Amino acid sequence: MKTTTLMIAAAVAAAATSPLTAQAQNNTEKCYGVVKAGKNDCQTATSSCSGTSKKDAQKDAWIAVPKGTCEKIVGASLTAGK
Amino acid sequence: MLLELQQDFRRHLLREQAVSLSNAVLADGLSAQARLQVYRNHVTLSLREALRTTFPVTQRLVGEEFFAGMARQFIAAHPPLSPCLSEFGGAFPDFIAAFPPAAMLPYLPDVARLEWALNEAWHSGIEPALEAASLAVTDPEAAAASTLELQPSLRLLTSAWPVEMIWRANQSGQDGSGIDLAAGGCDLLIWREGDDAVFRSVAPEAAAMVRGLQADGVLHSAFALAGAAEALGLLLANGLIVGRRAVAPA
Repeated sequence: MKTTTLMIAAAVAAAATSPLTAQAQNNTEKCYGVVKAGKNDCQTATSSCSGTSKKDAQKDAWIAVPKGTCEKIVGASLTAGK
Repeated sequence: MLLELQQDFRRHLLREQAVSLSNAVLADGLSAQARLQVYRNHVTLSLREALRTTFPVTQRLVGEEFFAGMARQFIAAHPPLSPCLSEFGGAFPDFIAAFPPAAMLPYLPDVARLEWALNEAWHSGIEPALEAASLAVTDPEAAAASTLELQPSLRLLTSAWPVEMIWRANQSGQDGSGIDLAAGGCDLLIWREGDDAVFRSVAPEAAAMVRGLQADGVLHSAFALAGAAEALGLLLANGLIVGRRAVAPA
């Protein structure tokens, strides 16, 4: 018990004074994923009247086959039973 | 009367069944039916647009057409519960996981979970971070028994798939290639930083510690796990600890 307590105190102290704590703020690009602000607000382009000219063309029978970059991912079959 | 009309209108919007609202809507240049369709079209498009904005990588992975079909069914099954579009879509990842046409893309729900976590983090408040120095303690007993409070935006995602790589490969300027699912899983910490939402992968040990802190916040139990010191350093360095409170000994 005592050892654990001391260990925690030591670790906390180490973390508090670690140089990592001081410099880690600036290495963003490489190891962080960043999403820029300003996308989803409480309205969208189509919620204006202009949206009415855009037709929801998707009928109930739609072709249920993904056709995006998932095709480039290695290691998963896109067609069942392959 | 009004309630019935509202419920009929709702059913019409969500395409649950064909309902006749014609006697409640006037024809004016356009037939009543056509006017109602404009409205319904609008609802679907606005909500789909909101999903596209919150889940851009998910859309890129499956393509616009598939995404639109999936979104349309999601919207009908899970209409918004709040008036704010940025709060719409929390149930989308689980919906995708149970959506048969997407079953061949087992990593897709986790990609959507990452995007939702980023969206949530983004709309969270930021608390002033705890100064690292104020963690340096003189009383070890008190330190071990204290609890840490984390930034409200902090999220943790543990996935069996390389969702970080998938996300990166599908940002603008990237063509989505170079991903091998055999690369394995990852633990991601997600939080808000200024006006951005950010995430980074952490060691499984650090993830376990954050999970422990999120559960009860007590340093004691969190430090029973390996790698806790590094995890603490990471949290401190990124301003993710916002408070420490002493807990009365049990």
